[in-house]
Amino acid sequence: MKCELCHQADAQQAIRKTVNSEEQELYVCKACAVAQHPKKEKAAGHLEPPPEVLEAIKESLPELMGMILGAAVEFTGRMPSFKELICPLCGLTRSEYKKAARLGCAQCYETFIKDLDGVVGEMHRVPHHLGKKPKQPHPSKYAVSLLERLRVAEEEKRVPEAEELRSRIRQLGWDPETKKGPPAL
Amino acid sequence: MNDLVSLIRKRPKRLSVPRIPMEDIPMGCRVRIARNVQEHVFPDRATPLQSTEVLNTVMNAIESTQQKILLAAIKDFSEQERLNLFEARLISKELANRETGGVAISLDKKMVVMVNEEDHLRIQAFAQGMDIESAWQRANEMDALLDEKLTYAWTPRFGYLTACPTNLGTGMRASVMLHLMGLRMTGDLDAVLRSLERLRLLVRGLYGEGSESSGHIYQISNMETLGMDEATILARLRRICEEVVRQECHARARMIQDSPRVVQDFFMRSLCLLQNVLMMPSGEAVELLSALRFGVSVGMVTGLTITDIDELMLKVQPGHLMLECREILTPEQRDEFRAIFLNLRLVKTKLKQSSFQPKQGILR
Repeated sequence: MKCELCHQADAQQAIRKTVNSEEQELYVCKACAVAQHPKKEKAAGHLEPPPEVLEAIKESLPELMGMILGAAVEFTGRMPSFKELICPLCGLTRSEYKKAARLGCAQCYETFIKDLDGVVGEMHRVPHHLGKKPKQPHPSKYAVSLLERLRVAEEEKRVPEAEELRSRIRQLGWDPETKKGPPAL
Repeated sequence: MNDLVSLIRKRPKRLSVPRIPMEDIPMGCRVRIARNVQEHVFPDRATPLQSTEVLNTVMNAIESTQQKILLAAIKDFSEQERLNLFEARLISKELANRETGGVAISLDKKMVVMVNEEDHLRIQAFAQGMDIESAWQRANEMDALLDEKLTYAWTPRFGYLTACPTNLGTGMRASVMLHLMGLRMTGDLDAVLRSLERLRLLVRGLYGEGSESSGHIYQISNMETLGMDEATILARLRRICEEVVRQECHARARMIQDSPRVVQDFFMRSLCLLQNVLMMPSGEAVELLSALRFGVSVGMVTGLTITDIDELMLKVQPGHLMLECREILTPEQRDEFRAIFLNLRLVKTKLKQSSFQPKQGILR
């Protein structure tokens, strides 16, 4: 098939073009495609690695993916599932929760709140707590102790330790900067 | 032969209804509270190291309450000791199999804290009969003491957070153990149990979740733990259990009134087997002792009390039986020893052949 714009070279790709305020799909040669969308081609051309590098990547891609997956399975002991909701504190995945119908930690109640809304409603006719309350529900003693350790680490400029503590505090749903806890469910 | 037939014909087919003692039907009650420590991974998900950290934290907290309590790690108990604790309903089967579990038992054995079971803490308290309020009070006191030492996982919306969402909210499961032999004999038991389930109550066997009923002993507990406060849950359970007890009393009275010979024969058969056989499996022993319990309650079986039978029901269990003879036995040896043990213990037990003379009680 010949290019629908220059009618000389062979058509190699399809582009969309507005002709008389009507969008059309045209099969064109590479030169005409570049002429129609110069910026796109330039950008793509700039990023495109040399063909021999591309070929090498293509050849080693399955092996690389296999290595990554293998390492993940070895580390977690189970097949990773992409785009799956995971609890930041205990690592429970949504599918694991669905299978066992048990949660891994208190943080899971925030992580899987959308799933729990329906389940709790089915189990209990009134899905809101009535009754006893703990004497000191907030703040969390553990999170407060971590914040205190962070303050000391910052004062003594132990940067890697402070960074690790910040990460642990964030995992608990607290903000290490404002020292505020997670919103109540 | 004709004389015998006329004797049977002359015997009254219906007897006057004795007064059935209601207090013999509930066999005890329990209140269990589930709690978790905030920011610690729940036991099923935790690594052995994380579980050990929780165990130490909770055990230290229990020790600092300065209550008269025995503390021990499950791994320090032998298989035999774990079995005995389970049979006495002090720990669950699940905890008995957990190497990172722990237990705290009050000296009077009326309060137990299980550590690292399904949840970090399972505080359970026991009481006699249907006195669930006393059991709750006991468990609640321990909970309040531990609340000062630990930070519980709790949110205003879901209450106390638990590993299984079925225990959310109050985390409280109150249960009453009922002996429903009369309803079984009249054939009304299934209908009663179905109606309990419709009322959103759980009906389980003697050893709780997953256990089969033996000896027509049923554990009835609240299904819902969220959306009702503790007092409402307890009052509702008590009201429904009292109604079941009334129905059981009526069923027992009906059986005695309408089919006295069937009832007498039932007691006689049970006693004969318990006194004479050479091999006795534990399940059958509980069934037969359960029949005698009914007989003792209505004054038809003498030489034994309700407390004696409840004690025997525990002692015929495999672990307790081996404790009794202080030796590890094979299942076959146990059946033989159990038969001898029961023969000896029931040697003075007799069936009262005269009309029913039940103990004092009220039939409402």
